[in-house]
Amino acid sequence: MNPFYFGTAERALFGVYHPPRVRGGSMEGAVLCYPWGVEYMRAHRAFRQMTTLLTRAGVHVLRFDYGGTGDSTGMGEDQTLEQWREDVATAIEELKDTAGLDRVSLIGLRLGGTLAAQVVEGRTDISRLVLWDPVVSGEHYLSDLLALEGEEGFGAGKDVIGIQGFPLTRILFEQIRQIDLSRADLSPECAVDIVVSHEHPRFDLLRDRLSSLGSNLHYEVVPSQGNWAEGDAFGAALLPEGIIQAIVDRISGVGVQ
Amino acid sequence: MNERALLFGDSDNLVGILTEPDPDKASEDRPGVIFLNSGILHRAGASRLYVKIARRLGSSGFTALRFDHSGIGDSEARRDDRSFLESSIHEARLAMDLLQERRGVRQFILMGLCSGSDMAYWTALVDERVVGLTQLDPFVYRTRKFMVRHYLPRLLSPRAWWASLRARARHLSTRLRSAPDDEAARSGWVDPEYTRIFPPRAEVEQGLGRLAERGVGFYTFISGNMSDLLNYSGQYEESFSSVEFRDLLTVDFKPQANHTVTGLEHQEMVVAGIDAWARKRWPAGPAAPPPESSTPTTEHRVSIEV
Repeated sequence: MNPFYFGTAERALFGVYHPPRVRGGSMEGAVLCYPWGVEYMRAHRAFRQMTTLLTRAGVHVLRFDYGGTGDSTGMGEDQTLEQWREDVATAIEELKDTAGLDRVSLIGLRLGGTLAAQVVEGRTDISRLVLWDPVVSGEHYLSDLLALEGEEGFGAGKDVIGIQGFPLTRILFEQIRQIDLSRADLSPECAVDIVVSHEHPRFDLLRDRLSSLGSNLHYEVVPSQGNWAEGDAFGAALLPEGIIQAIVDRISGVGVQ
Repeated sequence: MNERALLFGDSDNLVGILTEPDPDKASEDRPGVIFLNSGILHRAGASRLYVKIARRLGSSGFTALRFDHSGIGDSEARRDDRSFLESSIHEARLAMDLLQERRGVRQFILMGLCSGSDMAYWTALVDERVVGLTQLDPFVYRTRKFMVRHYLPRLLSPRAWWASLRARARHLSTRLRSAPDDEAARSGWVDPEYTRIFPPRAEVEQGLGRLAERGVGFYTFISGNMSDLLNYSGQYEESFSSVEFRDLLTVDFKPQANHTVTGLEHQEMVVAGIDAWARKRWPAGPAAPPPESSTPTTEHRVSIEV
């Protein structure tokens, strides 16, 4: 395990690189894309667990924090989706460089899945894209976040609201609101796995959209806890082992026909 | 500001982020600040609170280290049979050793929320390098005045009696529900492994008394989530009436804030409160020598400017 900063001095990102725990060279790598806000806190342990399983399966792993989140530089108030997509791209290059790989996989949970899906467009160095309970509709995602706070939106003259202690700016809000993966022009050249914890019409829409665009798609429902945004005062984590194992199997090739 | 990632500990299993002090404000006799995990939240803290505090203190000239105890956040689990309490105290002391060896820091402020606050207290009792405690929702105890303020309005209110009866009925029905359903509902959740047990008040009073005799400074933040235990300003001091806090204690009682301080304005209140307390108690003195940078503990691609 190697915790380090990468990127630029102006936008240094905190990451942890985990080499494979098996002997011999490995040509598989995965960049893990966290969700945002309270979901990030809930998911940190699950990502570490997934990392452990991936490295045991011979995969190089890079987990990292987007700018303005976790230990990375910057304030939460100054972030945009474009910057976070650039951060994902920076992390891809970092893992390729560190592990000596030509291609890596992307695994994204919730908003991290959405960012990953947007980043792979046009890239030829992504071998697999795993979307874990992705945010398909920004509108619905925001509505759920606002419900957590009992907020209805931005009041007059207010440019930042707090969602469980995480700042959400009007700019970021508007950018997230525009997200609709079920209508997006996604045509990734890599294999795509949509792995979800429960059935939902929005996941069906995303599956149908990607299928219609000719993606090499695998869709799997692994019934498990998926309430990432559930708030409590004591910081419990969510560790849905079944779905983590299913994703590890897809990346390591066990679950790929 | 400059931050760097590092590995340290018995088997280099602990992950930490070192915040260097602003060189224009650093001074050699200022204590370093060490952040202790709250529950299983990793070192960034609840809603990134620890990051905000560490960076504010760094810009005020304090060296800060936030790290994950073994088995929490990014740190690997220990392979010995130490209890959580033993290993937490041991690792907090390792963090102090690290700053002492690498940065020449000789005194420390330990800072934590909830269980982190408890670990800060227990560690301070056994390590005299600790000169400051920053505790968010620490051990607090009821007083007679608390009881009057808490129960008298309820005794006189028919609505409160009715609410109490309904709560008891709900509690009973919950207990009668089948356990497997509850277990299934919690499947996949990982709750904090540390069960918070408040020691007897007299024991904590004695401990705080020992720390006060040593001249340890206290910044104590109490949120509204402690309202079942504390409901008026001054109660904290009153509940430890034998402790001569003198000018050592600063209590910030913010009933409008919650336990994990999720309100953005409350976060800023806490960050500013701790920063002001630390700067007042340990004003800038002689300039500190530049940090040795020849012994990095792990790879550093860049130093970061925050």
